[in-house]
Amino acid sequence: MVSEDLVVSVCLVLVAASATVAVAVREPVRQALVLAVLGLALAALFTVLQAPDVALSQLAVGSVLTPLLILLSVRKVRRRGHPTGDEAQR
Amino acid sequence: MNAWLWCGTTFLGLGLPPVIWGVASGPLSRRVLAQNTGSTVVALAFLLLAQGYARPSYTDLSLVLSLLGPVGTLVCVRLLADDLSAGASRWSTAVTALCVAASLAVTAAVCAAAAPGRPMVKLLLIGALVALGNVIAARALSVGVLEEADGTR
Amino acid sequence: MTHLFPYLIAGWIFLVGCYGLATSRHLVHAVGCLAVCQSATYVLLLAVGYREGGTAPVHSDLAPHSRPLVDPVVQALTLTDVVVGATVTALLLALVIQVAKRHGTVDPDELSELRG
Repeated sequence: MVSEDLVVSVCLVLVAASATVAVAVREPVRQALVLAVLGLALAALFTVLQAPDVALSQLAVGSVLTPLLILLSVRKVRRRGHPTGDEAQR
Repeated sequence: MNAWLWCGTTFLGLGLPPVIWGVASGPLSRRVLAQNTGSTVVALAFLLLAQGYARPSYTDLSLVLSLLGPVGTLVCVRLLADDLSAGASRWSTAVTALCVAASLAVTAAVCAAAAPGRPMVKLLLIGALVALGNVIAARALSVGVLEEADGTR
Repeated sequence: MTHLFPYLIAGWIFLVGCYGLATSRHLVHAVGCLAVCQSATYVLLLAVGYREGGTAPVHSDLAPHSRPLVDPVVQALTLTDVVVGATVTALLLALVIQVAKRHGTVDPDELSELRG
């Protein structure tokens, strides 16, 4: 059906855009936020591909767990006294 | 394709590109605000899609996202308290008001099409949680950060 | 063409993730790019299992045999993939913290142990 293909195509384009932005944003803290949005876009895509259980797992993993892990790691890495934030912005 | 699927598609197609743009550029407070808005937009889109595909079980996705989305935003606010001390984004009140209005509109539309009784109560609950979660997280982002920065540091 | 589009998007996402992984200057950013690569596999798997006009193989609100379904086996594989992806991300971030502790840097170009 043409109409349901349209929903799938819109979600696919949104996922591709979020993924491209996630790679383009170089600083890890900001990338964590973009990965959260990528998780949301993926959950929407999984729903329109008729996989709601996969979407539930993706919501739990992608919107809370991955940003939390990345932010905690950046914090730990920064505490070593190494100016990682400045280096990544050069 | 019925009207609900068209509504869901336009909701996603018009709501998520500004979210992606907002999370990719600008100061950190605007990025966190964009992530918060994104979770609200997707939660409301799930309600519309559940109606469009005639599968009431898809509203559970909306319920879970209405709880996990604000948790993600609060996690970011807590861990980025130092970086966010520059102040709230000027978009904050406008975007939050828009999200609350959108959730009220979508909840009313979906409840009008639902069977009265348990399904309608569930949809009302989900709509209320989505709106409330968005407001709480946005408030924590703009106000609570400054209090924490002045507090026990 | 619409039947090809999901696979093209999956390929694009994978290539973009590989590009980010190769050009990264911060190991935590590299782990994020690996997460992007893994999401390409989720898209690929679910595109393989999708059937036109099908609906989710969940019977809590659907009478069995009333509507055509999409392939459920592929969804189980994707579910496993999502959880494995989260575990791999956590493990790699732990390794990055150890690298920072031992070498004082998280820039891949400065980690010169393997150089001859």
